[in-house]
Amino acid sequence: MPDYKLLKDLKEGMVLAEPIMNNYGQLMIPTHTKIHSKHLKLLKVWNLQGVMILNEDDNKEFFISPVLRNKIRDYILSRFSISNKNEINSNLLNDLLEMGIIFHAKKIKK
Amino acid sequence: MKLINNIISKIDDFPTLPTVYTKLEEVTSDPRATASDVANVISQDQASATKVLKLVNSPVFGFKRTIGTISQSVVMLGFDEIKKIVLTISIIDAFKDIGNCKYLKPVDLWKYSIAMGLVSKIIAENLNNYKFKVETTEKVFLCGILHGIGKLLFMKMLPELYDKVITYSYENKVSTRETEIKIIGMHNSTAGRLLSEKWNLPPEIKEVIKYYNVGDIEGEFDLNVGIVHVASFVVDILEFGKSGEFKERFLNAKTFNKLDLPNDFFTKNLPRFVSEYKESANLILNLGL
Repeated sequence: MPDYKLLKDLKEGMVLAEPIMNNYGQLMIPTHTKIHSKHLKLLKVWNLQGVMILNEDDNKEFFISPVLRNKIRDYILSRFSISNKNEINSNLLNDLLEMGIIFHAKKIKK
Repeated sequence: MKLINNIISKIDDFPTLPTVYTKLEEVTSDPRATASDVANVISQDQASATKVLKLVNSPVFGFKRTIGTISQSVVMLGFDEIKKIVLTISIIDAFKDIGNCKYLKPVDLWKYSIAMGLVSKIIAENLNNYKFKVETTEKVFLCGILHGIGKLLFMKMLPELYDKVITYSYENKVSTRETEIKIIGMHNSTAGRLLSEKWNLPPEIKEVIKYYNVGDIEGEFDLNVGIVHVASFVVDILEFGKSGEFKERFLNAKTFNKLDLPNDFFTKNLPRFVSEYKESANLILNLGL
């Protein structure tokens, strides 16, 4: 999973996990660019707060066993209910649950 | 009824916001006010000035260069933003020295509130609807931070009684809001709203305090209320701080959809939620507690 890095914490050699676009949607620096000093200068000039950086674990797939996944999912779902369940954007809801699953699985792994 | 009247009169006697904030309100209401007028007001209160500088140099604002003076801060952030920073600092100050409940420490409640502010801000920045984004990004951080001010107020004004509320809710896994009605006769949101009226806080904060838990205003979508509502589920799931609520809560599906966030919003922003929370929570807490 990529890490959000504040500009002050960026170092040369880190790799962008996402493209940098300007306010008009034009591509300024593409994904997977290795950061050099010139990029650091540009990012400062553009006044960006931070960028998404690939972390070393991104190359390895973070495996969450189905048992652990279900346990965490059940734990999260035991803490909230959904009004008008049929109407909810299920893709976005699944993404919310997935966020919780990744977060807690990583915490357990640590 | 006697207790409710007692609470209302205690809120009435609750300290007003510090002079620096009220002076700032006065100065900025004058259309001819300059950045140096505003900077002078803040600089006269050394404690506030130091805290403002710490906060503007924190990742909450993410400026690349260090901002060394109050005048620079006013120029970079503008009057409204500076006013909000002073308000945040003043409110944290007003609620320091609160004792712990058995199952809820004020510092955990503050951490939860700060996380709510940060996550609300990130949600606002990622809304697909550009008009919504512009309308709310500036406002919603403070709305998130102050959504639960009523609980802090109860902890400060009625420490023993509120300890009973939290203990009963925790041990019986029932809604704290319901227990508040049973034991105190008033929701924390009502108390929070009364205080926000006394302090004359912006209207959107009053609405968030009252409605964030249900996610809309009597069935009608409201942008700030909706964002803080959804943020509360993110913060609950990630267990940043403690909300003092021990029973399952309802996610408002209509509001969740209406915000129209990208379908990968939560997983994509997870690293940002974690890093901004880690970077900012302690820093903000150290400003006043």
